[in-house]
Amino acid sequence: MSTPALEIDTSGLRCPLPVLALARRILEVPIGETIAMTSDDPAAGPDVHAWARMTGHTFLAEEESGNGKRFLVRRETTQDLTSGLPEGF
Amino acid sequence: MTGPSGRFTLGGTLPDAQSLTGATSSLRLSCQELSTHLGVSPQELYFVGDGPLAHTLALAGLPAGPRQVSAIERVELLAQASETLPVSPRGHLLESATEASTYSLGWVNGEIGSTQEIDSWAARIHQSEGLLHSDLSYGLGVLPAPTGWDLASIDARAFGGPTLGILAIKSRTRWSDPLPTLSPRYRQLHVDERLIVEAAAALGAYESLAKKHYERISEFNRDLRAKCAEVAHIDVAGDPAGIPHIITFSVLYAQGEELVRAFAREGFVVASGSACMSTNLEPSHVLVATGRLTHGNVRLIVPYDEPADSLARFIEVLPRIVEGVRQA
Repeated sequence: MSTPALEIDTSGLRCPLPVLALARRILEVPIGETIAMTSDDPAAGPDVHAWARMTGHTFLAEEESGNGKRFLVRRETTQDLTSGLPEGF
Repeated sequence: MTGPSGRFTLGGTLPDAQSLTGATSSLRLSCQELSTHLGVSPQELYFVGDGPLAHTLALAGLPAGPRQVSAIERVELLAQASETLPVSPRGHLLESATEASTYSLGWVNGEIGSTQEIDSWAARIHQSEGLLHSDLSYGLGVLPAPTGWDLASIDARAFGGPTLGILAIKSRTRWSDPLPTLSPRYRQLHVDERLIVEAAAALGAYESLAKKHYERISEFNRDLRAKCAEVAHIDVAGDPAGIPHIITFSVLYAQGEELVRAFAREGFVVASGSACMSTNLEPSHVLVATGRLTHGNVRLIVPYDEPADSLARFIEVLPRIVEGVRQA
């Protein structure tokens, strides 16, 4: 698999913050490119899957990483689904 | 009525298990009512302290062997699983169930409201000489109960009853008492007689309410689903064809706890299956098994006599609450 265009670490953050971070930062990645996110939140796995399904991005893979998991998601759409949401990521 | 004040002893004599002749007439009548709801005879009913204990004992008393449990069952059942069976996004069992094994498959899921075709699963399972346990808690009094199962466990709180567990074990089922005192001879000793009477009365009352308001609550279910589709990015769990009074949805980018608080400020008591609301920080296994968003989760169990204006107001405040919590 190609190297992700962006790598983020959300360790220590709990739901819904990891997915919110992913939603914001994926906008920095060109469409068709991949973002990698590491998280130690037990809810992150199911949430990244569901988020990708709801927003149209593609969930590529997940792997064990330290105390948590690393998720790979390919950006598919241009829409900014996070506009109007709090700053901070 | 409040909880048990002590153990029920029938004035010092043990009840005759076959006829309940030692029991009071109200107890006999209550056992009869409950057994009619379940399509069994009163002799096939056992009562224990609470629902979780009934679920635990149901599987624990069966002969040793594999236990295949659907992924959305209660933790007491999943804890005894040798294999967990996957379900569809709407919460329906996917496997073909063709092994001579014990299956545990609940009728109505208490978290997402999806219903399983218990009788057709029972037929398939019996064809391959398997055995079916079913948690019947959440459909009782609302829908006609399935009858094909071999043993069932029920949490009386699901229909507004007291803290009481009910086991219905068909006489053909090879089930032996995992506790020394649960044999028919001693079966009422586990609980206060009044709880059994109270449970039967509660189920009767719940049934009349559900019958009267079923269409109205179904309409609320449809309206709420439609409103969730209108407000962007709400993931509704379960099945539109499921039981109407149990509805679960997840709000993208919102925190479950904040949503629960926001609804409480509007006077609505809702639950949440989000990790932030659980003691072990794990999200609901039912949401995970059905591939639903686990954060921002809200779970409604609507009383069948909930006033119409209150239901209308819930739908009215939903978009505002979602917007407020997302931007909080």
